[in-house]
Amino acid sequence: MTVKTIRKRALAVAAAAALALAVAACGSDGGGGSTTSEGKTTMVWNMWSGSTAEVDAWNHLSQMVTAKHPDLALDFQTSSFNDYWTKLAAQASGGDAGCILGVQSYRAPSISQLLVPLDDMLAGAGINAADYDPSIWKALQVDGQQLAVPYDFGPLLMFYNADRFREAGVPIPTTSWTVQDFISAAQSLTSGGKHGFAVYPTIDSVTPWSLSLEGTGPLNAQGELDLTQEGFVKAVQWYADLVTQLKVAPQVVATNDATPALNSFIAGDAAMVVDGPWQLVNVMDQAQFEVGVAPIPAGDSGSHSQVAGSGFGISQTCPDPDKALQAIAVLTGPEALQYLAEQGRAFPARTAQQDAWFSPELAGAKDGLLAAIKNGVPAPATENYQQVNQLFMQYGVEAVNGQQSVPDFLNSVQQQAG
Amino acid sequence: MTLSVPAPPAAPPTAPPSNVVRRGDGRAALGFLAPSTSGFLLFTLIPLVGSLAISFFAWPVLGRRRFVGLDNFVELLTDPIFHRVMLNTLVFVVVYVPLNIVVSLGLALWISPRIRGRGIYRLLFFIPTVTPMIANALVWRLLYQPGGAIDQAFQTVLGMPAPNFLGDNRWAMAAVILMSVWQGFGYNMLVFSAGLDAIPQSLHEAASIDGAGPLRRFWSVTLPMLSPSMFFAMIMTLITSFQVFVQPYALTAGGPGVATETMVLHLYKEGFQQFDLGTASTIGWFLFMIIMLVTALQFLGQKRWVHYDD
Repeated sequence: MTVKTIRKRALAVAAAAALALAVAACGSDGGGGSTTSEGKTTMVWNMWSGSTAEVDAWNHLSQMVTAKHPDLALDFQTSSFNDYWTKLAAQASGGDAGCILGVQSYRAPSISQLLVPLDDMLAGAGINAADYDPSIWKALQVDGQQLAVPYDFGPLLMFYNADRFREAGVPIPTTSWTVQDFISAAQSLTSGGKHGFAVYPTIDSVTPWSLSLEGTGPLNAQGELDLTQEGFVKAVQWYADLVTQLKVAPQVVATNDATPALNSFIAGDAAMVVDGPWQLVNVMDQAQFEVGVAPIPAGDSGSHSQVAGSGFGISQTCPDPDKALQAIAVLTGPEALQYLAEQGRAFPARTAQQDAWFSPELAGAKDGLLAAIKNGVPAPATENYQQVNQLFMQYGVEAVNGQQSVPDFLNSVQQQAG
Repeated sequence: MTLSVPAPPAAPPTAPPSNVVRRGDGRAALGFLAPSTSGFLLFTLIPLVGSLAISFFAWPVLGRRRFVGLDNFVELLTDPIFHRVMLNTLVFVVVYVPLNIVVSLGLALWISPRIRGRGIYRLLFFIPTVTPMIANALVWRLLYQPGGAIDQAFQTVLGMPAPNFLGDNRWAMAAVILMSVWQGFGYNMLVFSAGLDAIPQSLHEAASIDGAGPLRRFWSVTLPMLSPSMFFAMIMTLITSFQVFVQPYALTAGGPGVATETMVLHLYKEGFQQFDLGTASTIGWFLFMIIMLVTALQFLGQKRWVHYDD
């Protein structure tokens, strides 16, 4: 071998080695989402968020944790709500999920195998179920095991454009209004290209109507998905008739906008819409009119809505679940929820802190929300709820616009997801 | 890194061209190729082989993976929804590609004479291509939706509402294709425009002297001379339109029903919404095979109509 070829070979090896190093540096920094150095544990906290203001609020909570437990620091990692579940699944499949995970009640069954059951550890961390609203506490259980501690919750509500009601001389909704009141208000408010109501065929927005009109939801008594049961089919038909027969709501479009009905309400095109209290602060912020809040109007079975909310759980890969629960105790503690409530960010899952949410701007929501909470039922959830939700929305557009019959639509979703 | 690289030995200027492969350069070449080759291996070849392997498994993101042989392929081939998705993709390709070529060629021909403000037109026509797809989709949604600009125009002019373009399964695909043509013609227009500029003026003049009219000149001079550009544009547009994803994703999310769900959108939903990576990889391989086949056919067919001026 000549000196020249040796040099060339060295060059090749060096280049390859440099590349290998660079690639290795890109790799993961170890799984488990927790590192300890000099007696201080840093844990990764995965959570969704929708705005920088929200991120600031979560970071503030993370500082609260370190203030209370100086040996603990949280590394807050975030993505949008929809991306969160994709990212979480991808990270979990690589054994790389964070220690503390945001858990939404609808999606708790689908990620239950990622989470540590908390029941035996709660008392040790000073977390007492009695401090929380029972419906959301229960909504974060899967197969009787507590998988997360809630921070916020809420039933779906009716938001209404109070200015439009007054202009049209239509009586403002009360906490005891009925479906007949709702229909006649929607009819009076539909004119001149504007509509009384806005729909979007998500399973979540249909369920309150089904509960109130027919006393049934999308699941059967065994907790299995049963979209073709008589009551639910009738309720969905009623929902579609608002568009096709009564014409009090505009036709819907296929879109990747997550909340098209709410956006049409905010734009002033629809006078009423159904959504959750977590949207209220955004709605108040963006709408150019006075926003009112009422419970779902009462049907033959009363006024009911499913209660959904979110909390924090501990991933199976977390090396120190006890420490993680200490952090969660702070994140869902009275001070943290008081802070979130005062910001209008989350309606507190702790009953004692709920009053703080009704700040002057949200005070008008108090009667409507409290009435809705009183009649709330736990949200229906199945392991593949995400898939059900997606199929329902995708095929529901044709059903709501009258291009496909409601029973056919529900049959096809049931067959694909059941 | 501070390595001194030996200069390549200068060939004696009078030496005849040698076709003897000098050994020893191979390793140095390997060293220099290492960065790009490793990138290719890491980000293309290994994932490609990996996805082939995954397509033989039931591979949920969470939970147990299981070898299932050809089950994923068989399931997809017998799945009526996947048939519809393939049909949608085919419809998109068959309508979009010719429309795109006709529009871009037409506009390129229009601005090919040295007209005033030619550069401005080129720029204007190219703007849709460089604007972000999501922004386009938002604007087009405002045009398409009930109560939107098109609907209002219908109400004023015809006194009746426009079809619900994005909510009606008969119109949704047409709406997606129209937006895609608007977004996509600029690139091919630039290719054609450059191709037209490269045709020697003398050919046109010679044809005129021989008595050829404008149509005849277009048919017998312009088109044959432009055929290499057209071949390139056709291949690239065909491949990218088989892979269409962003337009339906941003505008209709594949709906209503599966009326605008294309193969890559279906792949995305299977992989990242249903978390079934086995099926998603299988769809990827179906698409890969289709694109390979169509591109190979085009290369075979090019002899008949592409004229290389050499």
